[in-house]
Amino acid sequence: MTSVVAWNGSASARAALLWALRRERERSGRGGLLLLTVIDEAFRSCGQAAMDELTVAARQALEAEVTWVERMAPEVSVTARLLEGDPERELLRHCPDGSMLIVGRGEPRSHFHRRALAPRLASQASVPVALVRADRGQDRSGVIVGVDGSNASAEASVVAAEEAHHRHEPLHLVHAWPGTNPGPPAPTSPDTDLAHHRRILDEAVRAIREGFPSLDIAPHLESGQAASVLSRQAQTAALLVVGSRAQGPVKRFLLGSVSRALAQTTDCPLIIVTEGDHGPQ
Amino acid sequence: MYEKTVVGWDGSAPAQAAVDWAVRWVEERSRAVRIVRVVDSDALDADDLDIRWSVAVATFALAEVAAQLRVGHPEMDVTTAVALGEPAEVLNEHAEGDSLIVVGTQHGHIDEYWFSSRLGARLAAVAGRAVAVIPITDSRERSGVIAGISGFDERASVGLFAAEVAQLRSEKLHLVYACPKHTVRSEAAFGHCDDAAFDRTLSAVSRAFPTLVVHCHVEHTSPASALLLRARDASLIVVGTRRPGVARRLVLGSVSHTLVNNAPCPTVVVPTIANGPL
Repeated sequence: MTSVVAWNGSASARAALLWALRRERERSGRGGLLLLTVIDEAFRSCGQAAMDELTVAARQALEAEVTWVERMAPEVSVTARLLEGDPERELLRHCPDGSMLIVGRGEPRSHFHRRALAPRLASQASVPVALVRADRGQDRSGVIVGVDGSNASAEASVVAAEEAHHRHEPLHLVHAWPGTNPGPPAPTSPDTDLAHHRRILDEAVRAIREGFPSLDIAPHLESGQAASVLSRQAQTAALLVVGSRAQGPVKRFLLGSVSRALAQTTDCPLIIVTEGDHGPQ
Repeated sequence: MYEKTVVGWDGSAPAQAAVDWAVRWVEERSRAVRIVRVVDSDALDADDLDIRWSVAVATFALAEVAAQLRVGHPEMDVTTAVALGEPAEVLNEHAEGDSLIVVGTQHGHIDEYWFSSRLGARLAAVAGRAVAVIPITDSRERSGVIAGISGFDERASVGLFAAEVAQLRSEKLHLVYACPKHTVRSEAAFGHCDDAAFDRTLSAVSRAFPTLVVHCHVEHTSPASALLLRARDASLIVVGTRRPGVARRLVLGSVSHTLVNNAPCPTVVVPTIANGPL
C-alpha cells in the first residue's frame, strides 16, 4: 500500500513525510513512498518567468528531499513527481488505487492555510487520507477508531486495525452514545438504548477479531457527542481513524460533521476513510 | 544554555555563511537548529498572488537547504519556517527562551535586501538575547575568542559566553578591556572599573571552566578600535550590549554597533543585563 505524500516543502509537509516514512518502515518498505508536488496553475498569471523559477526551485527541493529519504531509509523505495495544475485535482488524480494520501496540516493560525486543503481532500479522495500535524514530541500510543455501526465505520475499523497491526499497538474501538444528555425524551427506554449501543460495539469488535485474531483490541462505550469523545481519547493516542459517509456527487466535497470537527481540533494524526474508498485490501 | 539556534536565511551568500557558522555551532553542542525565511510583506508592494508566489519559492528553496543539511548532518535536528513580516521581529518571535539568533551580513554593501548590515544591528538591539552576526570571511587563518569586557556586565555574560566557545573549540580566550588614556574623566570615573570587570569575569569563568587558560589585555584606546584590531585574526568576537529600557530599545551600544557593522569575523552581541532595566 503506497504512501503518497503531498509535498510542498513546508514544515507541515515535512511532518507528513516523516509520518509516511515511519509507516513505510513498519511495513519494511513494501508499499513504497511517492512524493507529489503540485505547482499551482494559479501562478501562471504571474508570468512564465515566475512559473519557471518556481518549477526549478520545486524540482531542486524535491530532489534534495528524495536524496535525504534514500540516505535515511534505503529500504524504502521512494519516487517523486512534479506536477502542474490545480493542487487538489492533481493530487487526487495521481493517488494510485489502494494507496493512502498523507497531507500535512499547518498550524491553525498560519497565514498560508486559509484555504484548508487537507479536509477537503479527505472528502473527495477515493483513498484514505491521513492528516498529520508536526509532532510536538509528546508521548502517544494506541490506535483509536470511531465506531457507529455504519459501513463507513466498518471500513475505517479495517484501516485502523491494519495500522495497529503494523505498529504493534492496541486498537481501541470507541462508540459514543448520547447517554443521559438533556434533550427530548428518547422514544426507547434508556436500558434498551444502552443495550442497542453495546450491540453495535460488540459487532464491530467481533468483525475485527475475525480479520485480525492476534490484535490487542479494547472496546470503549462512552457517553457524549462523538466528536468530543473521540477528540478527548485522541489527546494521547498515536493515531485516530474515522469513517465518513459517502455522499452524492454534489455533497461529496462536504466532509461529515464528526470528521470535520476532528480535522479542525485534534493534534493527533487523523485518517479519514470515506465509504467506498479502495482501502488497504 | 542556548538550546535552540535560529538562523535567518534569504538565499544570499551572507545567509549561507550564517547557516554554515550556525551548523558548526550546533554540531559542537548537538542541539536543534531552525532556519527561518522571512518574506518581508512590507517590502512587497504586491497583491495576494505575488505574496503567495514569493512564499512558495522561498518554501522550496528553504526545503532544499534543509534537506542538504540533513543529508550532511543526519544527527542534527533541523526545522524550517517561512513567515511573513518584519525580519527582525519574526526572527525574534521564533527564538524562544535563550535561543541564539544567527544572521549573515555583508559589510560596505547597503542595498534593499534585508541581509544588509542593518538587520544584524537591529536584531541585536531588539532581541534581548544573544545574536550572532556572520560576515563572509576572508581566507585568513582565524583563531582565538575575544571577549570585550566592561564594568557594566554584572553577570559576566560576555566572558562566560566567550569562554564556553573557547573551551569547546580548544581556542585561546582573550579578555579585552579598553579605556582611552587621554580621557582624564574616564580615568577618574573608571579607574577601578577594569580591575572590577576583570575580577568579576575571571572568577565567573574559572568557576565554570576551571581548566581554561584566560589571557587578559588592557588597551588604552577606544573599545571599538581595540576590538576591531583584534577582529582581524580572531575567530569570534563577543561583546555586550546594555539594554537600558524600552525607550532605548532601538539604540544599540556604539561598540557593538561598530563591530556588527565592520568586524571581519563573526560577532556575537550578548545582552548584559537579563530582562531588567538598569
